[in-house]
Amino acid sequence: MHTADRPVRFLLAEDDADHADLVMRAMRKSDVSNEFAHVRDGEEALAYLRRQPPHENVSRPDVIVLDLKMPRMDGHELLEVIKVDPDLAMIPVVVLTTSKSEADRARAYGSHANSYLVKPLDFQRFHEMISQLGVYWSVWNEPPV
Amino acid sequence: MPAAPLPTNESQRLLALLNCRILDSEPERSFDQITAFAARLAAAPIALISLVDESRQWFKSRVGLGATQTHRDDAFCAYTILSDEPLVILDASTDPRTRDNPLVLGGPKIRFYAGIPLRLSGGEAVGTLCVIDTAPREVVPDQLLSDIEMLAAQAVALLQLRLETSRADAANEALQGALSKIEVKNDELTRLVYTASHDLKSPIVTITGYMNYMLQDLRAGRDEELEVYANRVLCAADRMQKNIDDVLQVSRVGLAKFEPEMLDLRSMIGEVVGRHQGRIENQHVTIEIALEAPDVWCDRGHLTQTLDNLIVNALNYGCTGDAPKLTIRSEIDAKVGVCIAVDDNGVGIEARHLNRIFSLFERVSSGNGGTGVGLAIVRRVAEYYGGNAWAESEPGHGSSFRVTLPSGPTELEGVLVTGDS
Repeated sequence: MHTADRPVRFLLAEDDADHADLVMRAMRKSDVSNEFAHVRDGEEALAYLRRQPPHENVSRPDVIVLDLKMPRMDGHELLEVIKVDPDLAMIPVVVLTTSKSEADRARAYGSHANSYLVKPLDFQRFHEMISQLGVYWSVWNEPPV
Repeated sequence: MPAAPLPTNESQRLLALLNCRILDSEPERSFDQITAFAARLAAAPIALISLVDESRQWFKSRVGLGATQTHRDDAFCAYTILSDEPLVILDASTDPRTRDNPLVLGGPKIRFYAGIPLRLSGGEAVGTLCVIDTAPREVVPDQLLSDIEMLAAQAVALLQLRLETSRADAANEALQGALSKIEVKNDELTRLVYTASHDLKSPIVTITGYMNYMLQDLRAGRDEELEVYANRVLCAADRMQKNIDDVLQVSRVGLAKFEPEMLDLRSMIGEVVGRHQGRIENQHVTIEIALEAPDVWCDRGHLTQTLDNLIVNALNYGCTGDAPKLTIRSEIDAKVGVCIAVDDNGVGIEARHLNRIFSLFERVSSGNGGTGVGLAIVRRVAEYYGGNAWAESEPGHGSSFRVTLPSGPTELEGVLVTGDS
């Protein structure tokens, strides 16, 4: 299992700094060893994934966690670009959003999102979800390579 | 012959004829049967259903005549439609109304004419059913006239049916138009609810999250991060307040009663710029005002809202360079009246974002305190007055935000529609 050697690397695309902080805090408090990189919109995420300046030296993430509503390039647009890019298409993408809307879910799965999570408004559940997200992707899930 | 005078209800008559949607249509059997029967009844070589248009008579159906229309000045039927009674001319070559008529002097050499006006239910005599002979007659039996009148009634029924169908179609179209406006409105509301709920839920996640961390820390006797948490909670509550205000502001554009009036653009701009004087000085923004069109017809609140949002938008996103400069211009717009432009010398906007920024809650760049509602309001207001709002930009060379508004009193639609997708 890949996590035997190193922590699982998440790329979090989230424009709300507080939410990003809350996700990272919850993940830190979980028992899995993980690393988080945070970008604030779809364009920055793409630059990160393609190792364009200023991200030339970053490691490729194991999982992308993305919010749908972001400025410049939103989560849907980012997902569509990632899943048609042969270099990036295999990286699992988890949508993490406040939107329960059917249109959003359909569009996200339609563009081959690997999972769709709705941020719980309740803190305990939020905490639990993020912590399980960490466990799932670092312990149980077998990566493509 | 002297041309026939116009009926007193001429414009109404022409409109009804137009609404029958029959002029220049293909021949139809039901009309042709009527003329064929009329010709036979009258033992006449020619029978016509003639529709008297503005400057011609056009034959919906004709027996024994090659022409499809003649000039109205030469039309016997232009006389027939002036009365409720049939017009009978036994010998057109001696009748003072018709003896000089080219259709009498030359082909088809009309002598005998009997025409029945075709009068619709609204009183509009749109044409005639007539029978014509090239030989004069001495008498017309009453029986023949009343038979032709019965046929004419059939023609009227056919015309009336067309008119009703066309009116129903028009009503249906109007209904469809209203329906699609409601659908657009409904989509817009759905989107508003969607974005509003996202923007309202977001701070709740933040608030409950940090409040819980505060509780955990308080219970554990830690206090290093308490202030950070408290500040984030306060900011989130602030954001929520702002979002709620925005939603209310957007939804109010179309609801309240407004009183458009002639407004002096220069003083309105001065007033709005004055509100932001502090920011303008802090950001060292130079402002230039160049007005070619001085007056706008708009509700005072709407124009203030429009100018305020354009200027705030420019201060937020267009004044980030070294020597920021805003030019507020107005010029005459041929279609709507006045075009107001706010030009900046900032970084500009990529073409693919130019329309999206006018949608609710959309921002192109993060930060800068915008909530993504200002330009949506600008567009809603402009559309309310029959104008539009858009942006032009060349990345690296600044942006120009434009809005068109009327320069004088205009019919307002009353329905607010924002098409932003």
